[in-house]
Amino acid sequence: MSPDSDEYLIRYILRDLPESEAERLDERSVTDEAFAQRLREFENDLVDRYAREGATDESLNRLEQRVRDSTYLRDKVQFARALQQAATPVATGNGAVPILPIGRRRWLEGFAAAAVLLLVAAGYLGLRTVSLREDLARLETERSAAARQNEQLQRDLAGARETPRQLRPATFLLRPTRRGADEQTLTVPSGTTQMLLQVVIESSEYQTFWASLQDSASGRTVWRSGDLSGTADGGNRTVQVTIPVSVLTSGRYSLEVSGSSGSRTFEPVGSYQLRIMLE
Amino acid sequence: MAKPNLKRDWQPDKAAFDRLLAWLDEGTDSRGERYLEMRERLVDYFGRRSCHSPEDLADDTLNRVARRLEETGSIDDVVPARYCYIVAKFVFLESLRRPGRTELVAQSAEAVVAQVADDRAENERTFACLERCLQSCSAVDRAMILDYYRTTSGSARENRRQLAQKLGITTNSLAIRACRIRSRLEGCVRACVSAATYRPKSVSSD
Repeated sequence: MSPDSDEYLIRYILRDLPESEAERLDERSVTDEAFAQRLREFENDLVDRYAREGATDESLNRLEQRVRDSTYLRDKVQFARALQQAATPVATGNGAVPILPIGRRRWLEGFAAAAVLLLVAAGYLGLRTVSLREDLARLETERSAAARQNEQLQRDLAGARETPRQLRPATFLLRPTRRGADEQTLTVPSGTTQMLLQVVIESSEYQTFWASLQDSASGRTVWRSGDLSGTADGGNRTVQVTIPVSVLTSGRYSLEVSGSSGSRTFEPVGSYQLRIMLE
Repeated sequence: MAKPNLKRDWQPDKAAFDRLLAWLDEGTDSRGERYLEMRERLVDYFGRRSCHSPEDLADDTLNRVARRLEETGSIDDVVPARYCYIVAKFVFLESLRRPGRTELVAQSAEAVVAQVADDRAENERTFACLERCLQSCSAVDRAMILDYYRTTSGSARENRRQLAQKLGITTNSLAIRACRIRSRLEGCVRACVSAATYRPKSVSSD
């Protein structure tokens, strides 16, 4: 079997190769950009097929077994299903496929279902006919709006192809604040995808930390970390917290940090009042 | 009190992080693209090896590389990607010795049952997160990824050929772009789902 064949890649993804061969491909998946790209596409295609069809052939059957034991593959399958759901076109009667935001498309789907129910009712109650026509007219208006939005997106595409996106993560240092101290203002540049916070904790007795970010206005927790380790720095520790910008809007937040010294209980060790400004 | 492991606990400051970005860029300015790409490859590497927290291990790997750069000023005897792989391999081997991994295997049968019961809720959570992450994409990326994965009565291949034609690029370029957007969306969705389903890993019930 050729080491670059599809079957070989499937066996690698399913961890079905001898360890030495798997390690060789592990290395290429990190060091060889073209191979990493091909492998990712291949893996995505395999997972997409499974998400769409289920275990319909030998490869997908083996994948299904791996999915049971692999959080990584399970997450990928969940994602593939969600993506397929998001990308599923709404039938518009004339074969046109509008590009709509998901929320709006869900509304439209609900609307279409309601229209069908009205149609059935109209068979029994002719009085509904007028209402149904109005609904259909509104659907047509929605479809026209979607077509206009499609055109706008195409124009955006042409514009944005000339403007490369900023992807640099934004890094901030958070020092401990005293009770009642001022909030710290963090300005996040446009296009930033991750906010890296270096949080200084005035204690060296904790080894593991958790962080959570709360919207100060609503009190809602918008993000939580997993276990975090800290860096010893004299009598302090510094904890790196990485928050995806996608969960943020401009506003006031409270970053709460808890620490554990090895026992199973976590204690609050820091609270940081932030004003986050998304540019 | 346990003595802290200074090497493992080290975290890069802004200067160290910038040095890491520059080293990965190898003389170009990718605006953080190389870092994100390397992080994605490492997440995939740890994920394919069934590690419990691929993202944490990828961050741990890059932190160690940054620390090495901080100590030595430069790493010239090996290309960045290869060095990252060498470090990742050590991080992987260390992760095998941690008790958390054993617990994960021991709980896996139970987890499967829970997974089936939770399947619907999980799908909805993932979809809601995807919806949110899509909104954080540029309009161009959002339109492209939805178009790329849109399936109609025609074949996916034909749809993608037409999309590439519409955008004036080759189908290969389109596939690469779509794959990159998808990778970032997957990372965003993982973080979002993780925040929504957060369960403290260190506090296990007796």
